[in-house]
Amino acid sequence: MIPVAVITGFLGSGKTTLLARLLRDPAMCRTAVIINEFGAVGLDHELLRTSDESFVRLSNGCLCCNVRSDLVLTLGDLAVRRAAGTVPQFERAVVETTGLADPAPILHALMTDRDLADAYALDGVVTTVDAVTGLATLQQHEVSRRQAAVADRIVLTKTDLPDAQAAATAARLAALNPGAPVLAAVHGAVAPAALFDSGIYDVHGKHPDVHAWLAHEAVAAASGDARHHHDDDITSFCILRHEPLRAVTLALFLSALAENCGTDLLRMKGIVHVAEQPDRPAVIHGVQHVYHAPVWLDEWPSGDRRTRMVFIGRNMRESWVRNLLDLLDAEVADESARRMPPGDAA
Amino acid sequence: MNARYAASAAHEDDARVRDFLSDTLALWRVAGTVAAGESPIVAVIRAATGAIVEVERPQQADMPFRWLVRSRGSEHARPCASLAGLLSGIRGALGVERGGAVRIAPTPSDA
Repeated sequence: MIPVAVITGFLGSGKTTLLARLLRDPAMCRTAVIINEFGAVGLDHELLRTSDESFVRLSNGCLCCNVRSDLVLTLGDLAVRRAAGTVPQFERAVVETTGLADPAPILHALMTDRDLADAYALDGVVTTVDAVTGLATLQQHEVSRRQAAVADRIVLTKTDLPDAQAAATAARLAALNPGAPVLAAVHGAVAPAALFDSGIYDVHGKHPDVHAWLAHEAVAAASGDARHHHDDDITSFCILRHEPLRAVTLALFLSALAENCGTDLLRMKGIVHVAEQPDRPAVIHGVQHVYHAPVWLDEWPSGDRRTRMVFIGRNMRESWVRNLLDLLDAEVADESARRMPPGDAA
Repeated sequence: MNARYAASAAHEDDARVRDFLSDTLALWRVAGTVAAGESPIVAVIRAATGAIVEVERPQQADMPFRWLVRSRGSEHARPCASLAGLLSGIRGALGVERGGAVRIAPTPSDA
């Protein structure tokens, strides 16, 4: 499986600078790069120098709007050419979006295409935010908030400039997405290891670090922090449950989230204690209404067997999610008891 | 009367359902109120558009559903097997457009 990372960030936030710097790192030498440039004449690709031919430019529109199929076709084509040996044996793919792209549709494309599923696994989302103008951009542009909200890693750029508001911007980002580490970068200088391999999918055969991936403690701490209840409509919170969930409850829960939250559910991830599989936790991950198939771990990563689910959403109340889960669980328990033969009730 | 439902459907459960439905209207960005109704009506939803939707628990024993959703004045009630279906029924009655059905990404083994 080839991990695919998505680099996103608002216009001028330093995506290309970051990518250019990353590609100079020997650890990134076997990387296929797909750049989406908005406009008839792309420029970003001219700023990059890659060491091989694993480089593709998409310039016929915004990736999130009208060239999702192009992305799928391009990745599929790269996989075929890689298998045939007509392009280098790249070990990673990076997709750079336009600054105006909502990452969610791109993630949907990467997650749901059957042809890609055999070759690629979504690694994670890296979002760049400019320390000089980032605060204003986050305030003014919803797409910027969405880009930050779905990130696994956030890179704070231009922190060396005189007008940088690094601390304030980092605090704002922590409010939007408490689970994503914020890494400061000057001229794009960040070690690839700090940005990639953040996904839960076992692309390198390693044991996934669920604790770091979920970051539920950071989210729980932030949601109890009064500073994070501001005028922003994007909130994050963590749901913990000690009791195992029946599989049917989980299915109904995910279905109800998808149907009722729509695009307001920016991202959801969790580790779930499923009653029918008590020794094998299920890792779930969704973007809006699209979910990866549950990943069943071989064992619990620690002694903590609670279900932990992290939500990042817009106009979503924690109480609604909590009540939905509790009420569904009660319904399923009641229905199970009702269908049980009388003699088994004891 | 479905004795099991009657027993388990305590008033506090009904109040919690109403609170939940009230939060649901906010989630859907629908202006409206949720109030208690006369048994068996658990909740009366009044949208600012004028639409009124009633949520009932079924009265007959062993019905294969748990909820009924009815637009006030309509003879037809929509039966719903779960809370998830109840929300779908209310969305339909209020004309709320929300998200789509859940979609599970393919895995390599079944691709």
